[in-house]
Amino acid sequence: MEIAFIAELIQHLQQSTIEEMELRGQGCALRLKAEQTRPSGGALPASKSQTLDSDKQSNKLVIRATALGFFENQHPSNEQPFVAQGSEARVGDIVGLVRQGRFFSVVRAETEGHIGSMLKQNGETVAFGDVLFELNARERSYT
Amino acid sequence: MVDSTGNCKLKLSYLGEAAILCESVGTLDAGAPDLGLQTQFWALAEVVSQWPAVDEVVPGMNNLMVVLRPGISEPWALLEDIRKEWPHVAPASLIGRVIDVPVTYGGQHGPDLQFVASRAGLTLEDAAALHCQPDYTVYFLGAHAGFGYLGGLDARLHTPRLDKPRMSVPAGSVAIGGVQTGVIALTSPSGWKLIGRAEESFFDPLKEPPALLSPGDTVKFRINRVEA
Amino acid sequence: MIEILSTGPLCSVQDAGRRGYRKLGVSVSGSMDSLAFRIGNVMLGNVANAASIEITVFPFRVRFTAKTRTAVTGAACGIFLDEKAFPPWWCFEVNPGQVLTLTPPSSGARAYLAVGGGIDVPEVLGSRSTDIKVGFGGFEGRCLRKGDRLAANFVAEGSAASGSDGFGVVPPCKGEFERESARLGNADGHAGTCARVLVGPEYDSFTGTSADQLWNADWTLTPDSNRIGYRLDGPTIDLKSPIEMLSHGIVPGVIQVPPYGKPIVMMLDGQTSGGYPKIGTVIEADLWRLAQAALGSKIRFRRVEIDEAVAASVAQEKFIQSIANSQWRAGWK
Repeated sequence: MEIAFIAELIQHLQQSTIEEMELRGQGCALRLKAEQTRPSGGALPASKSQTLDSDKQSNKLVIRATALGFFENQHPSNEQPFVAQGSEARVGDIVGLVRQGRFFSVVRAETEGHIGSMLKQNGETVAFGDVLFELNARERSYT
Repeated sequence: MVDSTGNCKLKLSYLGEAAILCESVGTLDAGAPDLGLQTQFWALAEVVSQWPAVDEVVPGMNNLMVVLRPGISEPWALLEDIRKEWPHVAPASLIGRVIDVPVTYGGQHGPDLQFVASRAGLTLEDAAALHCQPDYTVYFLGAHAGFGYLGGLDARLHTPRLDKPRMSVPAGSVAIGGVQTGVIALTSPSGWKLIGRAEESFFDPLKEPPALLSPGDTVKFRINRVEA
Repeated sequence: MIEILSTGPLCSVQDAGRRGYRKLGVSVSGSMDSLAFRIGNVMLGNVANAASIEITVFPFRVRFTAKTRTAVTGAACGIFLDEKAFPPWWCFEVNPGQVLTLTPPSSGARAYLAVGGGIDVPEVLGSRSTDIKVGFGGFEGRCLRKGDRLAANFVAEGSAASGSDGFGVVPPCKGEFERESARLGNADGHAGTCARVLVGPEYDSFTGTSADQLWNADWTLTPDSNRIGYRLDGPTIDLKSPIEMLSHGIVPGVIQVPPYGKPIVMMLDGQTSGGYPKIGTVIEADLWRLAQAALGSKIRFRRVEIDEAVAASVAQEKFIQSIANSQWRAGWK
């Protein structure tokens, strides 16, 4: 069983509600079990309330503007925006651009998750640090 | 049409914003190329090539293309300057280099020599001799790098092009196409009739000058041998 | 410096072209999209004529064996440095061992890979452009193949101010330049390419119907089109009566009409002299638009006069200079 296959399997599991699975075959066995790293219910510590909401099922993460300028969610040469609501963002993925005059800087996802709220419209002025996207993530680690 | 100084009237047109084509009025339909007119265009080329607005001059058959320097914002001014200059242009004297070109006529290098000779009612040797007889003037270079259009081919050797061009003709091939003769400078497709092979290199980008021929040069072909 | 890992045909080293040898029959050659070529060099702070790689078939993959900077402009191809994606028209640092992959573009036909200092190949007849037809210049006088190793002139000076994510420029297809182009009369509103054309010296020798068709037809770029010339399909173009022309100089952009009646737009590797009637010339400022037309796509021509053609060239030059003069780019040293 290849590492790449296991990694891909974990990714699929992270998007599902499956808590545990076991695979047997080809002379080996693999067991994957979801483990919540945060309490599954109850209030979260107050210091984290700015970036995490109190929803017990999901954590909110954000992507911020990396420069002052105009936010653009699509490159002028491309037909599609970089991301849409619900799309999956992995670390390093391009999620948008910030334009200053004739130049662009790139905004990349620094955490992974699914695009939830898109807080800035295409063409809107943004300042360094402004929240552009909120992400929904389910944090799990697998043994 | 001729103006008061005896020069033909000039027709000037834009080829985009980057070049101006200078032709003499009334030669839209090609007759035999006029050597006298060609010398006037060579003279115009010489003058105009010194102008700051001009990047290159490219002689053609009884015409001249002037390529503008990038960034010229008033090409119409250059066009008018050329129009004003033309009546003052005296034909350039025909001093170019004399290029001696030994040729192996016929055989595998000249597969169409028999056709050309028969059509003219000549033996292979006489056809080769007739091809060598004139001093040919290089009118201009074009078609491919180093290819000189030569004027002066004897009318008996005028031969139409092939219906279907050959895909690859070796560099150095001596050829006849219609009323013109020339030496194919690069291995390339060609519809001309092949009568021999010259050993000289007519184009080498690493040499100075890269092309053997220049407009105004005289080419003298010489029989190296005639093969059956 | 750069090892070609994977390439299709028709990728070659090109600079701004070979000028001064047309009267010897030597084609200009050079980058078909001169605008993308020049902006790539501007982004890197290279001299204007530094040689780049023109890529016509994708995917294209290279490995960098030294630390340098690179810019990819032109067609909107996917740009991946190892696994990291970059948007189109982007300039970024690369480190030794990194692999750059350019995937098939969502728009456009030709991309330009510029590197810091330019591709280092010998100049032949004053240019580093490849004359593919004749077989000299560029990298060994030919298109690139897998395994080729190209040198570049760059000396790494330390990390760039903008960091490893680099920066991009707003491409010519959108933004201020396009609004300027619309003002100058290039209506690129419909799908395909619109190129501005000056009437040619023999324009009046064509029938009125043919002239109308030049301006109104949607011409198709046939698969027989390449750096030598673009063969167009569409209505047949007729002369009022046959003309036998004397050979004359031509430049890229000239639209020749041979006896069979379909126009050919001469491009950068085309012959320096022609013998067919010329119905028009695509203005030099719009040749880059044709360079980005994909085979099979539609082309329309729009008539302009000489003053508009010059204005278009001037506007294009200003566009390039505005990028060159920007403080943002100056910080990328």
